[in-house]
Amino acid sequence: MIKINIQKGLKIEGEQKTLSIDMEINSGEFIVIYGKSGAGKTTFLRMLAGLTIPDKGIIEYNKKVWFDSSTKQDRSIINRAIGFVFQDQALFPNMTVLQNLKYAAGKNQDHDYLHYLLQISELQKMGNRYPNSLSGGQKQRVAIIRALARKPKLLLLDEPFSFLDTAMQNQLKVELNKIHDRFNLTTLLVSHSPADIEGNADRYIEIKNGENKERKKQQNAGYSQEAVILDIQETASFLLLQLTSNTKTIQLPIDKNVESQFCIGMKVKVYIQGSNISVIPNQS
Amino acid sequence: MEFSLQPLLLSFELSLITTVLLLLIGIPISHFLAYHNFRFKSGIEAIISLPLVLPPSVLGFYLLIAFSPNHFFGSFLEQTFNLRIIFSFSGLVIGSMLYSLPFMIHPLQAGFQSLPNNLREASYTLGKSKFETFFRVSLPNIKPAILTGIVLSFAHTIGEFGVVLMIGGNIKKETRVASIAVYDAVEALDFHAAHIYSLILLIISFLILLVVYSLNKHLFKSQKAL
Repeated sequence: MIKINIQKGLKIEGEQKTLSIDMEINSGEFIVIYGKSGAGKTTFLRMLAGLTIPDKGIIEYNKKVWFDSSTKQDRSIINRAIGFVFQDQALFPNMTVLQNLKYAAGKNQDHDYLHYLLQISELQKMGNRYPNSLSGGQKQRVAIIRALARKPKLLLLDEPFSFLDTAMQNQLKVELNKIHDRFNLTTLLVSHSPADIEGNADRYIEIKNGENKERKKQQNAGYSQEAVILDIQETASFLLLQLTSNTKTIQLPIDKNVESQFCIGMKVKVYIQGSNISVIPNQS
Repeated sequence: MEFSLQPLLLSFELSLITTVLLLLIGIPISHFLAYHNFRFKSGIEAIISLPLVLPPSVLGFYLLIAFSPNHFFGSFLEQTFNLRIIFSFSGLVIGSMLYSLPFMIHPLQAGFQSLPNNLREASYTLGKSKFETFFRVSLPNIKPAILTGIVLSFAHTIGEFGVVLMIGGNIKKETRVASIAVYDAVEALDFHAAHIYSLILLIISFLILLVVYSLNKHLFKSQKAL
């Protein structure tokens, strides 16, 4: 469990205010932090990571003190065992994708795990590419799997989907959920829009006017259905799908850009989130 | 006076030693200046940059006074370590290092400052120490700056005259470098020798700059995503 009670003076929406965060995070929880731009979401993540020092307060991780202003304790970033995904990726330009992962994994490299990470992010063929030859979305995916490469206990993501198209966002959200479940990984995800991750998180916390407020989770905000592709109508960009659960067929429009990802007979997942419907290849 | 390769070889030896030593001390100094703010930072930066505006003869004069056995510091070095700096090759190295210091520090400092902060932060969040982050992330990503510092320091040392003459004099095989040999040849009205020395220095200087611009162009291309 993580106990957080910290304050930090900063400019919020043009005014000098105190960002005051008081919350507890249970082990294995997936929490979405949302709020307006400049509300202090990133500062909060940075304080948790040890990149920014709070003015006052205490952070405890599994009863170990990470930060305590009263005793001037401040556990070094390198000893906090976190994974941090920066909004602008911060990939090392002098290393290839694989070297970025290996650097993150350190001495105890699990090659199967690194291969798995490349596979779920569809970057198997990009291992020897340098970051400057990748697209914005590919860089973002490398940043996410690099943070996972060291098998962190706490994963902090700062707007990780901002450079991704909808199909890739959905796919990575699914994989992120799988990883979260598989490793029981406590995850904090910052987003300016909670709609981005509707249905995936255990809790939603809004940072507003310098304080955190919890919002009740919307039930049935999003769900998925497994299906098989019966036909691809390329001219009109439609997929004809048969749902695995009840053998009903449905027809869904898809983006022309992602059409090449699909083939007849392929297993897929259909995601329905609010008014958004997306289809991604099913790798489970 | 006859043309001899000796002054040219001495110039190369001096430039090489000066550049290597400057690189070794320049990296930690520039890293410190790039990432730390402290009270006397502007003063230290001004002192490092002094050789850019100070006449070389003035710098040479003060070094001559400082290292002279007739003065405290020079006398201390001679009596304690049996070390005589003036009119020796080691004196030339010290003078050259001070004279070329800004040509190494400035590119390196600019290189470190141009690196996005979150590269180092990303490395720390991956559990890497400051030491490992420095050698695996910071240093490899400022290659163009390192190359510029090396070449500028080397080229600047090859062409120096005033400081060398003041602190080293004009001792054959010891302190007579190529630029002094040109001066000697002209004074002796041996324009043929002066032409050869000058042409070799001109070609070498041009080739050095050509290499640095070509390499920088290549490195800039490969790292423009920074």
